[in-house]
Amino acid sequence: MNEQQAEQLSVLLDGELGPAQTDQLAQRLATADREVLDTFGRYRLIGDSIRGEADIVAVDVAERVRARLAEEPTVLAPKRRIPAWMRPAAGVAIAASVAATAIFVAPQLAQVQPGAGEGAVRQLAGAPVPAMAPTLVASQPVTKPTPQAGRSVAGNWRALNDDVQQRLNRLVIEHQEFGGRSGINGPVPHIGLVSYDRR
Amino acid sequence: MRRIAATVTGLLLLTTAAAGDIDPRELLDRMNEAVRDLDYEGRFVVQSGSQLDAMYIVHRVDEGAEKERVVSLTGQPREIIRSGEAVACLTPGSDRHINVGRREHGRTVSPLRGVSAEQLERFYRMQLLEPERVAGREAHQLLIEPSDDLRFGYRLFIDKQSDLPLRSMMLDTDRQVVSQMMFTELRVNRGITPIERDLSAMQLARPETDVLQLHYQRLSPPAWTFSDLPAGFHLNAHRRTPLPSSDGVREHFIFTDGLATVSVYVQPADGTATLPGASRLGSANAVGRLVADHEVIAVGEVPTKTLQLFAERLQAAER
Repeated sequence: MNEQQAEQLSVLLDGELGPAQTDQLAQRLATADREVLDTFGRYRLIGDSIRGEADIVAVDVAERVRARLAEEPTVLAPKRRIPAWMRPAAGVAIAASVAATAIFVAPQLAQVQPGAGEGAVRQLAGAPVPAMAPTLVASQPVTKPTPQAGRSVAGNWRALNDDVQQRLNRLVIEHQEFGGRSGINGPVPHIGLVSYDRR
Repeated sequence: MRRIAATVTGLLLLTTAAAGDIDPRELLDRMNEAVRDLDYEGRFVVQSGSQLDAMYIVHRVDEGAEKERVVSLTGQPREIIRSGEAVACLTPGSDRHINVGRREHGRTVSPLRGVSAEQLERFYRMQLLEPERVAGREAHQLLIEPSDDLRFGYRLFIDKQSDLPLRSMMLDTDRQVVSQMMFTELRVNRGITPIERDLSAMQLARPETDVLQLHYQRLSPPAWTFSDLPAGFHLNAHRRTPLPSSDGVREHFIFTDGLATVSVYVQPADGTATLPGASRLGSANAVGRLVADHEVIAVGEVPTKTLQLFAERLQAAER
């Protein structure tokens, strides 16, 4: 996917793409390759996540989006030629369908089976990535450590149940965001959330 | 010849005076500003306990707003994306792993602000050690030792050019390392990977500011108070946020001694998902307890003992 296409996807999700371009892009999405769909799903998911609309992170966004698109071929890949005077309205309708599709996708990610995302770690489509930047997208199935019954929780965040962990993670983020940023523990707040894993 | 010797001696004296003139407090101030204000990108390692991880960070400031992406390079892929208004923690798999924190203001202020040099010196001893080289860059070395066991010490390696912390070690009272991070590669200001593409959706998805909520936060006095704060700590901020799952409110108290920060959260206990005792996440500790049908959780990069003091000294405010 080239830079212009990536930009178009982003603008589409912002609702700022013109009707004619939306029409074009929607048709392209219906037959798009996995790379394009990955980027589309990622953009949408991040937006939803920030708005608090998605509580789940994708394992395999591309396949989910593709499946959803395939279910709605009459809307997203219209065979019938639309009269010129109707095109602006049709474009809006298609844009709405694409948006609704994406919003549907996010909550369903909870049911993704382990293994469904194999090979999904990939470079952000089309982005010119200098050597230093990592090329992964957080989209791999996870093998979660099993909490050990009766084990002391002190020093073992991951031994806590999921609900407690979720709440604590959120509290730690708020603590580090509102507490004021300093470099005393290094430049990066929330390191623990990113690195804390296998304990 | 005598003139040359005098010149050399003079230069040496000047150099020594310049090194001795560095004020640790000023160095910390500059470091805190550099962390927020500069564009940088790099790889670093993080050690906590026996675990070692490699990470990547890119941080940029655009029209005063910080944007940041942090990705784990070891273990399962995890990613944190921060914009001026929101933070998202992206983790893989079918488990729920996303966290969104929202800031009511675009920029955070260093906890060092508002703490005088005298206050800081009461609880920390600061000493500049021999400069060292980290990530191929010359660094000031600053040792900060606590004067009691309520806070941790630090050993910092601060880039002479950019003032960024190249290496940071958090030490217990026996000078044993509790956790540390160290850059292995760092770029500052030039040649930074663009992150706008990654963040475009996030920038568009601005969390709506709840004006009523902010109003409520400012006008409502805290329902809780502290009988006696652990030495050196003062209240830096207080927030109230409505709980999404009930009519209750969560109060958030933020304390600092200038270097360490402690958060105390109080909310009605719902009988589930209570944090039992103490727990740890990277450099942060957490302690939970129940007080008058309310759950109290104290979080901070301080010893567990300090968090317990905060949690124990909480009491309902008289109305």
